[in-house]
Amino acid sequence: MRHPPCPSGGRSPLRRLLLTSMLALGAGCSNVLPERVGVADGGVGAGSGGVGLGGVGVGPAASGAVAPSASDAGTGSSTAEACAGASVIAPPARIWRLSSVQYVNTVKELFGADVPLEALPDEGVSEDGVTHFDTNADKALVNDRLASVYGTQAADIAKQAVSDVAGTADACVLDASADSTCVGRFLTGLGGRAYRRTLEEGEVARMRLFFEKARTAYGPLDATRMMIEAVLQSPHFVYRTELGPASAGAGEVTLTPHEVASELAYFLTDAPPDRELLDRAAAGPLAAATTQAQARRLVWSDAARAKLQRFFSSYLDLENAASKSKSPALFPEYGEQLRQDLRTETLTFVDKTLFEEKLSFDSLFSASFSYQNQVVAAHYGAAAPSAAFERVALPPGRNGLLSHAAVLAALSTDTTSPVHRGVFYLQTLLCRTLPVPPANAISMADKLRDPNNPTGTQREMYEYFQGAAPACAGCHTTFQPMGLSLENFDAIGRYRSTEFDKPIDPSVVVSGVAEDIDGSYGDGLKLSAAIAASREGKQCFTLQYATYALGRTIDRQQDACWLARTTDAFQASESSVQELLVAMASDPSFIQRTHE
Amino acid sequence: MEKQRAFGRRNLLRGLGAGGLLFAPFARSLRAASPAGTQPSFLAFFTPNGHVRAEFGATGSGANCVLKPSLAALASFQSQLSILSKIDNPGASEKHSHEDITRILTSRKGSDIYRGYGPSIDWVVARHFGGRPLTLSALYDEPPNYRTKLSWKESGVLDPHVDSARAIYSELFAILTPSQTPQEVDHTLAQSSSVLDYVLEDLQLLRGRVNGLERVKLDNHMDAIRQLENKLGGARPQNTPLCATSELESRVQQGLSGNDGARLQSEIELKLDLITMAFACGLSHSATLLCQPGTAGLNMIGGSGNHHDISHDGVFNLGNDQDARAVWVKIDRWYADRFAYLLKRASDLMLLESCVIAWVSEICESHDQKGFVIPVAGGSGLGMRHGHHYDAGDTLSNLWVSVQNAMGIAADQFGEQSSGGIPGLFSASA
Repeated sequence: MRHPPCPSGGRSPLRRLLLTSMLALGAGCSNVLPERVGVADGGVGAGSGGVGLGGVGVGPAASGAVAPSASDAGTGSSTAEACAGASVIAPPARIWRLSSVQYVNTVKELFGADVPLEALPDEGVSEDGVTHFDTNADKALVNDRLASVYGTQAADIAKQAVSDVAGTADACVLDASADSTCVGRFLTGLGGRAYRRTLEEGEVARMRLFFEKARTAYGPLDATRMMIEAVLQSPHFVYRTELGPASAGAGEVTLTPHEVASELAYFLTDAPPDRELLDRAAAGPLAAATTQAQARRLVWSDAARAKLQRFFSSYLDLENAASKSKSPALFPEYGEQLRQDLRTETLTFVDKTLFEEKLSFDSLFSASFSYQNQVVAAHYGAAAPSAAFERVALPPGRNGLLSHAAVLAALSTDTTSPVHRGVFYLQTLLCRTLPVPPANAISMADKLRDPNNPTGTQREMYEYFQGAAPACAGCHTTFQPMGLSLENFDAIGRYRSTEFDKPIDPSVVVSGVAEDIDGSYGDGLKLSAAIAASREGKQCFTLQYATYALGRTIDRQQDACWLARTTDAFQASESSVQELLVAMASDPSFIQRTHE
Repeated sequence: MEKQRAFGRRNLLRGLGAGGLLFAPFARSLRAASPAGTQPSFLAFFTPNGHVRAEFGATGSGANCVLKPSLAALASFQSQLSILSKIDNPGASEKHSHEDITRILTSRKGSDIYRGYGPSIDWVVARHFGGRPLTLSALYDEPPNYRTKLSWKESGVLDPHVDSARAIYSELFAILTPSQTPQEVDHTLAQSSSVLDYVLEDLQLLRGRVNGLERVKLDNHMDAIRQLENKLGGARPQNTPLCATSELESRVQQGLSGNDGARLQSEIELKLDLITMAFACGLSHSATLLCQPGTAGLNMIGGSGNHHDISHDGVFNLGNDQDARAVWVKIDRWYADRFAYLLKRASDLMLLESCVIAWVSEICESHDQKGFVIPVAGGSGLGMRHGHHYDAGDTLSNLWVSVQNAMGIAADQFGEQSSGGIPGLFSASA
């Protein structure tokens, strides 16, 4: 079955859109590319054009164009030039619970503890119609289950930590007769490291009271263990604050130096600030140049590389590809090892291209090489030198990320899915949203297949669908042709030139998207390369990474100038992903917050 | 016979701190004086995509009923089993689709199809006994998504299911070791309580610095800490000869392996064993097992494709593919074998008379929530009347009222359009 009327599940929001986007998008769409999210450049998109089929002579949609929405009206021509002189809009002040990865990295750094990631519950995915990440700060809550895990882990870590204290300068605290100076030194050191800042007097006093009561009741060993347990479950450890000084009232504030240090470290590496950052924070507010220099230092670290890999894994839905099997009858070779290796190929390619070959974002979508082992190369019908992942030339017909089998498999079911793939172009690469489908979409399911053409190709089915469900076509024409442009790759990413013995035509014409994207393309790989090279594509990637790493939805109105500034920096750096991250961290809004 | 291990309260906490108490024995059990195995408990066994009703359910009415072929595996339990037919869900959404999983255990309407409105029945039962339900899943390769939103702590607050057998075992049983003295137990309880008090105070102080949603985050956190604190005052677990975990521990440590079908069977049975042993050890009164195995849905019966797709090919508004229906029936029978395993396990652990077990799904053949066929087993010692086919038609809400009553909850309402329970299914005088 090619198009189940209900989604086949999966975390990816593409699947949720498949739920009904492939069926009946009705009055919300009419051959017009959906509104952009968070794009500052005006004058493109809404109210004009659409995406047509290549090779069929279908151009821009001729009818049913809708007027620009009210939300489009405000973006106008707010480019970076227009934004010059505009005041920086500070995001709301907040507290942000450490993610599971950040928690694991932090206890490792502080106590050498190895907590397995699977000990912590899955994070909930937050979807806003364009992005789908599990890093939203507003969704990062502590429920009873997570509190229980924190307690369990704190107890284990504390037990070991007490043994470790015995061999340090704080060993005196384990003695029943430890004096006030020893206790004070231990507590300020423990709290300072765990809370990633200097403790206030009142905090030290509370800790001292707790410790001494516990010592009186249970002895110094238990008191030390209990103190560590309490610190590891304290909100000052579990959350990172973006509040500014304690004395701050309503209005704009600048984050404290320690908050900036923590934000910088976790933004770039998902790990706590290192000694160098903490020392600079202790010395006072970080100058803008210092923040930028520190960002540039951290962005090339191993921890930053690991974080970018996690981002790309979510961005491309690679976990879905690695975990979901396909029909063993149809794809007997697509076992767990191959799935894992294909995922490793894509992540290794991204990592080495950006960090060792030091190539640009654009190259991710145009590269004629990848990093493969023999298993992966064989899947591509080629050979590789070894069992390790090494640089190889891609076979003809493949360039860049959208020709990677893991990416293509994640965008397929047991058949290719031009809907999944088309929505990927629309949402993930272009940051366009789709309207909510009507409630009766499910009843349109019988329009999906031509009963007289059981071996119809995906393109033939699409053409039939357009005729059978014209109300649906209004939206489907905005993305499905783009999805069809990848039909040379089957459901597990193998190359094919025919479908049911009929030649595949992967060409596509794009119009009304953006001046530097509109045109005819021989296939979807060329289209994706053009999107990556365009300003719109870079702006969308900026929005995607910012949503992931800043943990909030980027507001297309309020953040228009921020988006313009950072995209300008991205382009000016010859599309260096590292420099994009440095630009984000160097922006004034990175350290400003608003208290309501 | 399994090696028996008694355990004491102290060991609930040893090395785990207060965090290990999440599933600790609950306070205020109404039958605290009874052995754990006779205390009321409830289990919802969820499998996806509905059933082929022509083969799933019973023929005949009342006590003169015969199980249909898909439920043949349950024949030996017929005296402890009822079949409820023509059950509608008055809380169903306008969409009538798989998203209605959010409405199956809540039976309440609401505008957001991805949100449960009100606590689900497993949470209602668990709260009655002073705790929280065990919410486990057997997802195989299905990641958490809108089709895994079964249990709801309260309106809009999803209780995500735990898929890791190891995590659940660790929370429930890792502390079972030879007994400690009550004084040592009290000692550790007091320490953990002190730690949590300190954490609560820190939360309160930080709360004073924030507003709006940030306060809500901290309020949630404080609620969570208070729940852990409540456990510290809970009743002590009942030692029973049947509370034995060494074999279970071995299986958990070994992990799951094998091909898709065998692996899924192992996974479901392991999770059911964790739940039933938790009941037998008096560590829980309520549980759900959410089976939503993704692509393994057909591989387990040696087929290819996806359970969801087959159900659509078979009946759901795309056609009437008889081959697909035949495959779908096979899936129903495969799950019936797992349900039979559950009933046998409950029987072996002497739980069946005090444990009400309902087999639910999120959708019927008409691709809506009308006309469910629901096997309900166990609980005859609590007043459940079995060996019947209840086919007069009723609501899912009324089923949950009957379950409430069996648990000792004196409420005649639940969700939408309830009216005192399924007539005849529960009798307080039984």
